[in-house]
Amino acid sequence: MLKPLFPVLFVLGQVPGLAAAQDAPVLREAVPANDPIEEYFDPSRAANVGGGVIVGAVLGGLAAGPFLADSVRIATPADGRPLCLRAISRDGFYSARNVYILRSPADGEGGTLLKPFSNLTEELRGYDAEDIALVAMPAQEQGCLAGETSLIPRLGQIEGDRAELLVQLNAGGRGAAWIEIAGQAEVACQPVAADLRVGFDMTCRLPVTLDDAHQTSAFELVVDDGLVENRTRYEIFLPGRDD
Amino acid sequence: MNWVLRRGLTRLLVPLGLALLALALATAVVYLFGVIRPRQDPLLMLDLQSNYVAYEVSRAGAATVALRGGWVLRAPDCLDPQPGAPTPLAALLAPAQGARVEYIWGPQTVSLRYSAGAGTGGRFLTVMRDGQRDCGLDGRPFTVILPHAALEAMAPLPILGTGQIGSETIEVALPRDIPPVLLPAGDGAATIAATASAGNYLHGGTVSVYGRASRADEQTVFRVSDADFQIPRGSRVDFGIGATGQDGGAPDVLRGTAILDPEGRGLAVQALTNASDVQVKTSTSVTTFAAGAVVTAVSDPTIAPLLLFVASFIFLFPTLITIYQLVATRE
Repeated sequence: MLKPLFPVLFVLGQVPGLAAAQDAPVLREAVPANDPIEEYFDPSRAANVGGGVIVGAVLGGLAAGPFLADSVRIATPADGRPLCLRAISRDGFYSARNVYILRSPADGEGGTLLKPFSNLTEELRGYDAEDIALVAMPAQEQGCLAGETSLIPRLGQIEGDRAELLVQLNAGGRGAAWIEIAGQAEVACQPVAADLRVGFDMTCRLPVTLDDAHQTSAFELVVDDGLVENRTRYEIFLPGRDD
Repeated sequence: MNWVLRRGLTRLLVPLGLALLALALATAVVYLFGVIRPRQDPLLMLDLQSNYVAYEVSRAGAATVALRGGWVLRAPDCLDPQPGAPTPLAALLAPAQGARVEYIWGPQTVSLRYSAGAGTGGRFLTVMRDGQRDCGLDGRPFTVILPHAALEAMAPLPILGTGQIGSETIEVALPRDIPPVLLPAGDGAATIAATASAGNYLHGGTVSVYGRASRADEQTVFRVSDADFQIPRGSRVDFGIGATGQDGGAPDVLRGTAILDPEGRGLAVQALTNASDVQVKTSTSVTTFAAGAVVTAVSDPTIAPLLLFVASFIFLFPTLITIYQLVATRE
Protein backbone atom coordinates (compact mmCIF):
# COMPACT_ATOMS: atom_id res chain seq x y z
CA MET A 1 0.00 0.00 0.00
CA LEU A 2 2.81 2.40 0.87
CA LYS A 3 5.03 1.12 -1.88
CA PRO A 4 4.40 4.04 -4.28
CA LEU A 5 5.69 6.41 -1.59
CA PHE A 6 9.02 4.73 -1.43
CA PRO A 7 10.76 6.48 -4.41
CA VAL A 8 9.74 9.81 -2.90
CA LEU A 9 11.39 8.97 0.42
CA PHE A 10 14.42 7.68 -1.41
CA VAL A 11 14.80 10.95 -3.33
CA LEU A 12 14.36 12.95 -0.13
CA GLY A 13 17.32 11.12 1.34
CA GLN A 14 19.48 12.28 -1.53
CA VAL A 15 18.64 15.96 -1.42
CA PRO A 16 21.95 17.74 -0.82
CA GLY A 17 22.00 20.14 2.07
CA LEU A 18 19.89 18.03 4.38
CA ALA A 19 22.98 16.47 5.87
CA ALA A 20 25.36 19.32 5.10
CA ALA A 21 24.67 21.63 8.03
CA GLN A 22 27.96 21.43 9.90
CA ASP A 23 27.28 23.62 12.92
CA ALA A 24 23.95 22.16 13.92
CA PRO A 25 23.95 18.60 15.34
CA VAL A 26 24.79 16.36 12.43
CA LEU A 27 21.82 14.46 11.08
CA ARG A 28 23.24 11.31 9.65
CA GLU A 29 21.21 9.04 7.46
CA ALA A 30 21.36 5.53 6.19
CA VAL A 31 19.26 4.27 3.34
CA PRO A 32 18.34 0.71 2.48
CA ALA A 33 20.48 -1.03 -0.14
CA ASN A 34 17.57 -3.06 -1.45
CA ASP A 35 14.41 -1.64 -2.93
CA PRO A 36 11.77 -2.31 -1.76
CA ILE A 37 12.95 -3.02 1.74
CA GLU A 38 12.38 -6.54 2.91
CA GLU A 39 9.88 -6.59 5.70
CA TYR A 40 6.97 -8.70 6.61
CA PHE A 41 3.81 -8.12 8.53
CA ASP A 42 1.01 -10.62 8.62
CA PRO A 43 -1.00 -11.44 11.70
CA SER A 44 -1.95 -14.83 10.35
CA ARG A 45 1.46 -16.44 9.98
CA ALA A 46 4.34 -17.33 12.21
CA ALA A 47 7.53 -15.38 12.48
CA ASN A 48 10.27 -15.31 9.88
CA VAL A 49 13.08 -15.49 12.36
CA GLY A 50 16.62 -16.73 12.30
CA GLY A 51 20.05 -15.72 13.40
CA GLY A 52 21.45 -14.92 16.78
CA VAL A 53 20.01 -15.18 20.23
CA ILE A 54 20.15 -11.41 20.73
CA VAL A 55 17.42 -9.89 18.58
CA GLY A 56 17.42 -6.33 19.89
CA ALA A 57 19.68 -3.82 21.61
CA VAL A 58 18.81 -0.27 22.61
CA LEU A 59 21.27 2.12 24.23
CA GLY A 60 19.52 4.78 26.28
CA GLY A 61 15.89 5.15 27.18
CA LEU A 62 12.96 4.85 24.80
CA ALA A 63 10.02 7.14 25.40
CA ALA A 64 7.01 5.14 26.51
CA GLY A 65 4.25 5.02 23.90
CA PRO A 66 3.87 3.64 20.41
CA PHE A 67 6.77 2.50 18.27
CA LEU A 68 7.70 5.34 15.92
CA ALA A 69 9.19 3.90 12.75
CA ASP A 70 10.22 7.28 11.34
CA SER A 71 12.64 8.11 14.15
CA VAL A 72 14.73 4.95 14.45
CA ARG A 73 18.37 5.85 15.02
CA ILE A 74 21.29 3.42 15.00
CA ALA A 75 24.75 4.06 16.43
CA THR A 76 27.17 4.96 13.61
CA PRO A 77 30.23 2.76 13.40
CA ALA A 78 33.46 4.58 12.48
CA ASP A 79 34.30 2.62 9.35
CA GLY A 80 31.10 3.50 7.55
CA ARG A 81 30.50 -0.09 6.54
CA PRO A 82 27.05 -1.17 5.35
CA LEU A 83 24.85 -2.40 8.17
CA CYS A 84 22.73 -5.52 8.36
CA LEU A 85 19.59 -4.64 10.22
CA ARG A 86 17.28 -7.20 11.74
CA ALA A 87 14.00 -6.45 13.43
CA ILE A 88 11.29 -8.58 14.96
CA SER A 89 8.22 -7.79 17.00
CA ARG A 90 7.58 -9.49 20.33
CA ASP A 91 4.54 -11.28 18.92
CA GLY A 92 6.46 -12.35 15.80
CA PHE A 93 3.98 -10.80 13.36
CA TYR A 94 6.46 -8.24 12.11
CA SER A 95 9.98 -8.99 10.97
CA ALA A 96 12.50 -7.30 8.71
CA ARG A 97 16.01 -8.01 7.41
CA ASN A 98 17.73 -5.32 5.37
CA VAL A 99 21.12 -3.87 4.51
CA TYR A 100 21.54 -0.14 5.03
CA ILE A 101 24.17 2.06 3.42
CA LEU A 102 25.45 5.12 5.24
CA ARG A 103 24.96 8.28 3.20
CA SER A 104 26.76 10.58 5.62
CA PRO A 105 30.34 10.83 6.88
CA ALA A 106 30.88 8.32 9.66
CA ASP A 107 33.13 9.12 12.57
CA GLY A 108 31.76 6.79 15.20
CA GLU A 109 29.82 9.46 17.03
CA GLY A 110 26.10 10.09 17.31
CA GLY A 111 23.29 8.25 15.66
CA THR A 112 22.17 7.55 12.13
CA LEU A 113 18.57 7.93 11.13
CA LEU A 114 17.23 5.00 9.15
CA LYS A 115 15.39 6.43 6.23
CA PRO A 116 13.09 4.68 6.04
CA PHE A 117 13.15 2.04 8.75
CA SER A 118 9.86 0.69 7.52
CA ASN A 119 7.10 1.33 5.04
CA LEU A 120 4.60 -0.05 7.53
CA THR A 121 4.67 2.95 9.88
CA GLU A 122 0.98 2.75 10.74
CA GLU A 123 1.03 -0.98 11.50
CA LEU A 124 4.06 -0.52 13.74
CA ARG A 125 2.34 2.26 15.68
CA GLY A 126 0.19 -0.48 17.15
CA TYR A 127 3.21 -1.74 19.08
CA ASP A 128 4.73 -0.34 22.24
CA ALA A 129 8.16 1.24 21.88
CA GLU A 130 9.93 -1.79 23.37
CA ASP A 131 7.86 -4.39 21.52
CA ILE A 132 9.89 -4.13 18.32
CA ALA A 133 13.39 -5.48 18.84
CA LEU A 134 16.00 -4.34 16.36
CA VAL A 135 19.75 -4.55 16.14
CA ALA A 136 22.36 -3.86 13.45
CA MET A 137 25.48 -5.78 12.59
CA PRO A 138 28.32 -4.80 10.25
CA ALA A 139 27.91 -6.41 6.84
CA GLN A 140 30.72 -8.70 5.78
CA GLU A 141 31.95 -9.12 2.24
CA GLN A 142 29.79 -12.22 1.88
CA GLY A 143 26.77 -10.23 3.01
CA CYS A 144 25.06 -10.63 6.32
CA LEU A 145 26.35 -13.49 8.42
CA ALA A 146 24.01 -15.61 10.52
CA GLY A 147 25.28 -15.70 14.06
CA GLU A 148 27.21 -12.44 13.72
CA THR A 149 28.20 -11.39 17.22
CA SER A 150 29.28 -7.77 16.63
CA LEU A 151 26.28 -5.67 17.52
CA ILE A 152 25.46 -2.06 16.82
CA PRO A 153 22.65 -0.84 19.06
CA ARG A 154 19.68 1.31 18.38
CA LEU A 155 19.97 4.66 20.15
CA GLY A 156 17.43 6.04 22.59
CA GLN A 157 17.75 9.15 24.70
CA ILE A 158 21.18 9.33 26.31
CA GLU A 159 21.92 11.93 28.93
CA GLY A 160 25.46 12.37 30.22
CA ASP A 161 27.87 9.45 30.19
CA ARG A 162 25.70 6.81 31.83
CA ALA A 163 23.07 4.90 29.92
CA GLU A 164 21.16 1.68 30.12
CA LEU A 165 21.63 -0.96 27.46
CA LEU A 166 18.42 -2.90 26.91
CA VAL A 167 19.14 -6.30 25.37
CA GLN A 168 16.19 -8.24 23.98
CA LEU A 169 16.88 -11.89 23.46
CA ASN A 170 15.26 -15.01 22.20
CA ALA A 171 16.28 -17.66 24.70
CA GLY A 172 13.97 -20.14 22.97
CA GLY A 173 11.81 -20.43 26.08
CA ARG A 174 14.73 -21.97 27.97
CA GLY A 175 13.84 -19.82 30.94
CA ALA A 176 17.22 -18.71 32.35
CA ALA A 177 19.81 -16.36 30.89
CA TRP A 178 22.29 -13.87 32.21
CA ILE A 179 25.05 -11.59 30.96
CA GLU A 180 28.60 -11.70 32.25
CA ILE A 181 30.98 -8.79 31.77
CA ALA A 182 34.59 -8.94 32.93
CA GLY A 183 34.97 -6.95 36.14
CA GLN A 184 31.25 -6.35 36.60
CA ALA A 185 28.42 -7.99 38.44
CA GLU A 186 26.32 -10.48 36.47
CA VAL A 187 23.09 -9.16 35.04
CA ALA A 188 20.20 -11.61 35.18
CA CYS A 189 17.75 -11.47 32.28
CA GLN A 190 14.05 -11.33 33.08
CA PRO A 191 11.21 -13.03 31.24
CA VAL A 192 9.09 -10.64 29.22
CA ALA A 193 5.83 -10.14 31.11
CA ALA A 194 3.49 -9.75 28.19
CA ASP A 195 0.96 -11.69 26.22
CA LEU A 196 2.90 -13.22 23.35
CA ARG A 197 6.60 -14.00 23.40
CA VAL A 198 7.23 -15.40 19.94
CA GLY A 199 9.98 -13.10 18.67
CA PHE A 200 11.77 -12.62 21.96
CA ASP A 201 11.13 -13.83 25.47
CA MET A 202 13.67 -12.19 27.78
CA THR A 203 15.21 -8.80 28.40
CA CYS A 204 18.39 -7.79 30.21
CA ARG A 205 19.25 -4.26 31.31
CA LEU A 206 22.94 -3.45 31.59
CA PRO A 207 24.37 -0.25 33.01
CA VAL A 208 26.85 1.23 30.54
CA THR A 209 29.34 4.07 30.96
CA LEU A 210 30.13 5.95 27.76
CA ASP A 211 33.59 7.23 26.96
CA ASP A 212 34.55 10.40 25.15
CA ALA A 213 35.40 8.37 22.08
CA HIS A 214 33.49 5.44 20.64
CA GLN A 215 34.49 2.02 21.87
CA THR A 216 33.62 -1.63 21.63
CA SER A 217 32.56 -3.48 24.74
CA ALA A 218 32.50 -7.26 25.09
CA PHE A 219 30.19 -9.44 27.13
CA GLU A 220 29.14 -13.06 27.36
CA LEU A 221 25.54 -14.08 27.10
CA VAL A 222 24.76 -17.32 28.93
CA VAL A 223 21.59 -19.27 28.19
CA ASP A 224 21.05 -22.17 30.59
CA ASP A 225 18.94 -24.94 29.06
CA GLY A 226 18.78 -26.89 32.32
CA LEU A 227 21.80 -29.04 31.49
CA VAL A 228 24.42 -26.90 29.81
CA GLU A 229 25.28 -23.22 30.00
CA ASN A 230 25.42 -22.12 26.38
CA ARG A 231 27.80 -19.18 26.14
CA THR A 232 28.09 -16.69 23.31
CA ARG A 233 30.57 -13.85 23.31
CA TYR A 234 29.21 -10.63 21.89
CA GLU A 235 30.82 -7.31 21.11
CA ILE A 236 28.72 -4.21 21.20
CA PHE A 237 29.62 -0.89 19.65
CA LEU A 238 29.17 2.07 21.98
CA PRO A 239 29.19 5.56 20.51
CA GLY A 240 31.17 8.40 22.05
CA ARG A 241 29.60 10.60 24.66
CA ASP A 242 27.27 13.20 23.24
CA ASP A 243 28.32 16.58 24.62
CA MET B 1 -66.53 0.54 8.50
CA ASN B 2 -65.44 2.03 11.78
CA TRP B 3 -66.47 -1.16 13.53
CA VAL B 4 -64.34 -3.29 11.16
CA LEU B 5 -61.28 -1.11 11.77
CA ARG B 6 -61.71 -1.29 15.54
CA ARG B 7 -62.06 -5.06 15.42
CA GLY B 8 -58.91 -5.37 13.26
CA LEU B 9 -56.96 -3.18 15.68
CA THR B 10 -58.05 -5.31 18.65
CA ARG B 11 -56.97 -8.43 16.79
CA LEU B 12 -53.52 -6.86 16.31
CA LEU B 13 -53.22 -5.44 19.83
CA VAL B 14 -54.01 -8.61 21.74
CA PRO B 15 -51.15 -10.71 20.30
CA LEU B 16 -48.85 -7.69 20.63
CA GLY B 17 -49.75 -7.34 24.30
CA LEU B 18 -49.27 -11.07 24.85
CA ALA B 19 -45.86 -10.89 23.19
CA LEU B 20 -44.88 -8.04 25.51
CA LEU B 21 -46.13 -10.00 28.51
CA ALA B 22 -44.11 -13.06 27.44
CA LEU B 23 -41.07 -10.84 26.99
CA ALA B 24 -41.46 -9.40 30.47
CA LEU B 25 -41.96 -12.83 32.00
CA ALA B 26 -38.93 -14.24 30.17
CA THR B 27 -36.81 -11.34 31.44
CA ALA B 28 -38.04 -11.98 34.96
CA VAL B 29 -37.18 -15.68 34.62
CA VAL B 30 -33.65 -14.87 33.40
CA TYR B 31 -33.24 -12.39 36.25
CA LEU B 32 -34.48 -14.93 38.80
CA PHE B 33 -32.17 -17.49 37.27
CA GLY B 34 -29.27 -15.12 37.88
CA VAL B 35 -30.35 -14.63 41.50
CA ILE B 36 -30.66 -18.37 42.10
CA ARG B 37 -27.47 -19.19 40.24
CA PRO B 38 -24.88 -16.41 40.51
CA ARG B 39 -22.10 -16.44 37.93
CA GLN B 40 -19.53 -18.99 39.04
CA ASP B 41 -15.92 -19.29 38.02
CA PRO B 42 -15.69 -22.83 36.64
CA LEU B 43 -12.99 -25.13 37.92
CA LEU B 44 -10.50 -26.40 35.34
CA MET B 45 -8.70 -29.69 35.46
CA LEU B 46 -5.55 -29.44 33.34
CA ASP B 47 -4.11 -32.66 31.95
CA LEU B 48 -1.09 -31.62 29.91
CA GLN B 49 2.13 -33.11 28.58
CA SER B 50 4.96 -30.61 28.41
CA ASN B 51 8.74 -30.37 28.27
CA TYR B 52 8.65 -27.34 30.53
CA VAL B 53 6.86 -26.19 33.66
CA ALA B 54 7.73 -22.99 35.53
CA TYR B 55 6.05 -21.48 38.55
CA GLU B 56 6.56 -18.99 41.34
CA VAL B 57 5.99 -20.55 44.73
CA SER B 58 2.83 -19.47 46.53
CA ARG B 59 3.09 -21.85 49.49
CA ALA B 60 6.68 -22.54 50.44
CA GLY B 61 5.78 -25.31 52.86
CA ALA B 62 4.03 -27.38 50.21
CA ALA B 63 6.60 -26.92 47.44
CA THR B 64 9.33 -28.97 49.09
CA VAL B 65 10.85 -31.77 47.02
CA ALA B 66 12.40 -34.86 48.58
CA LEU B 67 15.22 -35.58 46.18
CA ARG B 68 17.12 -38.84 45.73
CA GLY B 69 19.67 -39.69 43.09
CA GLY B 70 20.16 -36.17 41.78
CA TRP B 71 23.32 -34.65 40.34
CA VAL B 72 24.64 -31.10 40.56
CA LEU B 73 27.13 -29.93 37.93
CA ARG B 74 28.25 -26.70 39.58
CA ALA B 75 27.69 -27.33 43.26
CA PRO B 76 28.21 -24.50 45.73
CA ASP B 77 30.78 -25.02 48.51
CA CYS B 78 28.17 -25.91 51.11
CA LEU B 79 27.26 -29.05 49.13
CA ASP B 80 30.83 -30.48 49.28
CA PRO B 81 31.46 -30.45 45.53
CA GLN B 82 33.76 -33.02 43.99
CA PRO B 83 36.19 -31.24 41.72
CA GLY B 84 35.71 -31.95 38.06
CA ALA B 85 32.82 -34.38 38.54
CA PRO B 86 29.08 -34.09 39.07
CA THR B 87 28.14 -33.96 42.76
CA PRO B 88 25.54 -36.51 43.89
CA LEU B 89 22.70 -35.07 45.92
CA ALA B 90 20.04 -36.56 48.16
CA ALA B 91 18.32 -33.78 50.05
CA LEU B 92 15.18 -31.88 50.83
CA LEU B 93 14.86 -28.91 48.49
CA ALA B 94 12.83 -26.16 50.14
CA PRO B 95 12.19 -23.17 47.85
CA ALA B 96 11.39 -19.82 49.45
CA GLN B 97 8.07 -18.03 49.05
CA GLY B 98 8.07 -16.35 45.61
CA ALA B 99 11.04 -18.36 44.31
CA ARG B 100 10.96 -19.44 40.68
CA VAL B 101 10.93 -23.20 40.13
CA GLU B 102 11.35 -24.81 36.71
CA TYR B 103 11.03 -28.45 35.68
CA ILE B 104 12.84 -29.05 32.40
CA TRP B 105 12.47 -32.35 30.63
CA GLY B 106 15.28 -33.90 28.61
CA PRO B 107 15.37 -37.23 26.75
CA GLN B 108 17.48 -38.84 29.52
CA THR B 109 17.00 -36.52 32.46
CA VAL B 110 14.76 -33.96 34.12
CA SER B 111 16.33 -30.78 35.49
CA LEU B 112 14.96 -28.96 38.51
CA ARG B 113 16.07 -25.34 38.36
CA TYR B 114 15.56 -22.90 41.22
CA SER B 115 16.14 -19.16 40.97
CA ALA B 116 15.03 -15.87 42.48
CA GLY B 117 11.53 -14.89 41.40
CA ALA B 118 10.64 -11.58 39.84
CA GLY B 119 10.83 -8.97 42.57
CA THR B 120 12.16 -11.32 45.23
CA GLY B 121 15.87 -11.30 45.85
CA GLY B 122 17.96 -13.02 48.50
CA ARG B 123 17.83 -16.68 49.39
CA PHE B 124 15.56 -18.62 47.06
CA LEU B 125 16.34 -22.19 48.10
CA THR B 126 17.42 -24.12 51.16
CA VAL B 127 19.04 -27.51 50.60
CA MET B 128 18.73 -29.76 53.66
CA ARG B 129 20.83 -32.89 53.98
CA ASP B 130 20.83 -35.47 56.74
CA GLY B 131 23.30 -34.50 59.44
CA GLN B 132 24.59 -31.48 57.52
CA ARG B 133 24.15 -27.78 57.92
CA ASP B 134 21.45 -26.17 55.78
CA CYS B 135 22.77 -24.82 52.52
CA GLY B 136 21.08 -21.54 51.54
CA LEU B 137 21.35 -20.44 47.94
CA ASP B 138 21.06 -17.05 46.29
CA GLY B 139 22.44 -15.43 43.15
CA ARG B 140 22.70 -17.67 40.10
CA PRO B 141 20.10 -20.32 39.34
CA PHE B 142 20.68 -23.68 41.02
CA THR B 143 20.06 -26.77 38.91
CA VAL B 144 19.70 -30.40 39.95
CA ILE B 145 19.71 -33.05 37.24
CA LEU B 146 17.69 -36.21 37.78
CA PRO B 147 18.00 -39.28 35.56
CA HIS B 148 14.54 -40.53 34.56
CA ALA B 149 14.92 -43.56 36.82
CA ALA B 150 15.55 -41.35 39.86
CA LEU B 151 12.50 -39.22 39.10
CA GLU B 152 10.30 -42.28 38.80
CA ALA B 153 11.30 -43.29 42.33
CA MET B 154 10.27 -39.91 43.75
CA ALA B 155 6.95 -38.39 44.73
CA PRO B 156 5.29 -36.25 42.02
CA LEU B 157 6.87 -32.80 41.68
CA PRO B 158 4.66 -30.08 43.19
CA ILE B 159 3.32 -27.11 41.23
CA LEU B 160 1.81 -24.44 43.50
CA GLY B 161 1.43 -20.85 42.45
CA THR B 162 1.53 -18.84 39.26
CA GLY B 163 3.48 -19.60 36.14
CA GLN B 164 3.48 -21.30 32.79
CA ILE B 165 3.45 -24.70 31.14
CA GLY B 166 5.18 -24.86 27.76
CA SER B 167 6.59 -21.99 25.75
CA GLU B 168 5.52 -20.44 22.45
CA THR B 169 8.85 -18.78 21.69
CA ILE B 170 10.31 -19.84 18.36
CA GLU B 171 13.91 -20.80 19.00
CA VAL B 172 16.35 -18.91 16.77
CA ALA B 173 19.72 -19.96 18.18
CA LEU B 174 21.93 -21.43 15.47
CA PRO B 175 22.22 -25.19 15.86
CA ARG B 176 25.53 -26.13 17.43
CA ASP B 177 27.10 -29.38 18.50
CA ILE B 178 26.75 -29.40 22.25
CA PRO B 179 28.50 -32.36 23.92
CA PRO B 180 26.23 -34.36 26.23
CA VAL B 181 26.55 -34.11 29.99
CA LEU B 182 27.96 -37.36 31.38
CA LEU B 183 26.38 -38.56 34.60
CA PRO B 184 27.41 -41.66 36.55
CA ALA B 185 24.58 -44.17 36.73
CA GLY B 186 23.92 -47.07 39.06
CA ASP B 187 27.13 -48.13 40.80
CA GLY B 188 29.27 -46.18 38.40
CA ALA B 189 29.19 -49.02 35.91
CA ALA B 190 27.58 -47.08 33.10
CA THR B 191 27.20 -43.41 32.37
CA ILE B 192 24.21 -41.48 31.18
CA ALA B 193 24.90 -39.12 28.29
CA ALA B 194 22.30 -36.44 28.98
CA THR B 195 21.19 -34.04 26.28
CA ALA B 196 18.75 -31.17 26.36
CA SER B 197 15.33 -31.51 24.74
CA ALA B 198 14.63 -29.99 21.34
CA GLY B 199 12.66 -27.21 23.01
CA ASN B 200 10.62 -26.30 26.03
CA TYR B 201 7.36 -26.86 24.25
CA LEU B 202 4.02 -28.30 25.23
CA HIS B 203 3.10 -31.61 23.60
CA GLY B 204 -0.62 -31.14 24.06
CA GLY B 205 -3.36 -32.08 26.44
CA THR B 206 -6.90 -31.45 27.51
CA VAL B 207 -8.65 -29.13 29.90
CA SER B 208 -11.84 -30.39 31.51
CA VAL B 209 -14.37 -27.91 32.83
CA TYR B 210 -16.15 -28.44 36.12
CA GLY B 211 -18.98 -26.21 37.26
CA ARG B 212 -19.38 -25.18 40.86
CA ALA B 213 -22.72 -25.91 42.50
CA SER B 214 -24.58 -22.69 43.10
CA ARG B 215 -26.39 -23.35 46.36
CA ALA B 216 -25.83 -25.12 49.62
CA ASP B 217 -22.35 -26.57 49.60
CA GLU B 218 -19.85 -24.28 47.82
CA GLN B 219 -17.35 -27.11 47.57
CA THR B 220 -19.53 -29.23 45.31
CA VAL B 221 -18.33 -29.44 41.74
CA PHE B 222 -19.90 -31.25 38.82
CA ARG B 223 -18.73 -32.32 35.42
CA VAL B 224 -19.89 -30.10 32.57
CA SER B 225 -20.41 -32.51 29.71
CA ASP B 226 -19.04 -31.61 26.28
CA ALA B 227 -17.01 -28.74 27.72
CA ASP B 228 -13.50 -30.15 27.28
CA PHE B 229 -10.87 -28.10 25.52
CA GLN B 230 -7.96 -29.44 23.53
CA ILE B 231 -4.70 -27.55 23.98
CA PRO B 232 -2.71 -27.50 20.73
CA ARG B 233 0.95 -28.48 20.64
CA GLY B 234 3.36 -25.58 21.04
CA SER B 235 1.04 -23.42 23.13
CA ARG B 236 1.89 -21.82 26.44
CA VAL B 237 -0.63 -22.29 29.24
CA ASP B 238 -0.29 -19.36 31.61
CA PHE B 239 -1.84 -19.45 35.04
CA GLY B 240 -2.28 -16.59 37.46
CA ILE B 241 -1.54 -13.67 35.15
CA GLY B 242 -2.64 -10.50 36.87
CA ALA B 243 -3.67 -12.28 40.05
CA THR B 244 -2.39 -10.76 43.28
CA GLY B 245 -1.22 -12.83 46.18
CA GLN B 246 -1.17 -12.34 49.90
CA ASP B 247 1.82 -11.79 52.18
CA GLY B 248 4.17 -10.96 49.31
CA GLY B 249 4.01 -14.45 47.84
CA ALA B 250 2.58 -15.52 44.53
CA PRO B 251 -1.19 -16.14 44.53
CA ASP B 252 -2.30 -19.69 45.10
CA VAL B 253 -4.00 -20.11 41.76
CA LEU B 254 -2.81 -23.50 40.55
CA ARG B 255 -2.43 -26.67 42.53
CA GLY B 256 -1.01 -29.70 40.86
CA THR B 257 1.86 -32.06 40.25
CA ALA B 258 4.14 -33.23 37.47
CA ILE B 259 5.49 -36.72 36.84
CA LEU B 260 7.42 -38.28 33.99
CA ASP B 261 4.97 -38.97 31.17
CA PRO B 262 4.90 -42.73 30.64
CA GLU B 263 4.56 -42.24 26.90
CA GLY B 264 7.68 -40.10 26.65
CA ARG B 265 5.95 -36.80 25.98
CA GLY B 266 7.88 -34.85 28.57
CA LEU B 267 6.28 -34.29 31.94
CA ALA B 268 2.66 -35.19 32.60
CA VAL B 269 1.03 -32.37 34.52
CA GLN B 270 -2.26 -32.60 36.36
CA ALA B 271 -3.53 -29.51 38.09
CA LEU B 272 -6.64 -27.72 39.27
CA THR B 273 -7.26 -24.03 38.81
CA ASN B 274 -10.01 -21.47 38.26
CA ALA B 275 -11.02 -20.72 34.68
CA SER B 276 -10.49 -16.98 35.05
CA ASP B 277 -6.86 -17.55 36.03
CA VAL B 278 -5.82 -19.41 32.88
CA GLN B 279 -4.84 -18.19 29.44
CA VAL B 280 -3.65 -20.24 26.48
CA LYS B 281 -1.12 -18.57 24.21
CA THR B 282 -0.37 -19.96 20.80
CA SER B 283 2.09 -18.33 18.43
CA THR B 284 -0.68 -16.11 17.10
CA SER B 285 -3.34 -15.65 19.76
CA VAL B 286 -4.31 -15.41 23.40
CA THR B 287 -7.34 -17.41 24.51
CA THR B 288 -9.26 -17.61 27.75
CA PHE B 289 -11.72 -20.24 28.88
CA ALA B 290 -15.43 -19.86 29.41
CA ALA B 291 -18.16 -22.40 29.92
CA GLY B 292 -21.59 -21.31 28.77
CA ALA B 293 -24.04 -20.30 31.51
CA VAL B 294 -26.80 -22.55 30.16
CA VAL B 295 -24.48 -25.53 29.70
CA THR B 296 -23.24 -25.28 33.27
CA ALA B 297 -26.73 -24.65 34.61
CA VAL B 298 -28.10 -27.77 32.95
CA SER B 299 -25.39 -29.84 34.63
CA ASP B 300 -25.68 -28.15 38.04
CA PRO B 301 -27.11 -30.71 40.48
CA THR B 302 -28.58 -28.02 42.75
CA ILE B 303 -30.38 -26.42 39.82
CA ALA B 304 -31.56 -29.72 38.33
CA PRO B 305 -34.80 -30.04 40.46
CA LEU B 306 -35.83 -26.54 39.35
CA LEU B 307 -35.21 -27.35 35.68
CA LEU B 308 -37.08 -30.64 36.09
CA PHE B 309 -39.99 -28.72 37.62
CA VAL B 310 -40.08 -26.23 34.72
CA ALA B 311 -39.83 -29.01 32.14
CA SER B 312 -42.64 -31.02 33.81
CA PHE B 313 -44.82 -27.93 34.01
CA ILE B 314 -44.28 -27.09 30.35
CA PHE B 315 -45.29 -30.63 29.44
CA LEU B 316 -48.19 -31.05 31.87
CA PHE B 317 -49.96 -27.70 31.54
CA PRO B 318 -50.94 -27.96 27.80
CA THR B 319 -51.66 -31.66 28.23
CA LEU B 320 -54.13 -30.98 31.02
CA ILE B 321 -55.77 -28.17 29.02
CA THR B 322 -56.19 -30.48 26.04
CA ILE B 323 -57.78 -33.16 28.23
CA TYR B 324 -60.14 -30.55 29.74
CA GLN B 325 -61.15 -29.36 26.28
CA LEU B 326 -61.79 -32.92 25.13
CA VAL B 327 -64.02 -33.58 28.15
CA ALA B 328 -65.83 -30.22 27.75
CA THR B 329 -66.69 -30.74 24.07
CA ARG B 330 -68.05 -34.26 24.74
CA GLU B 331 -70.52 -32.82 27.25
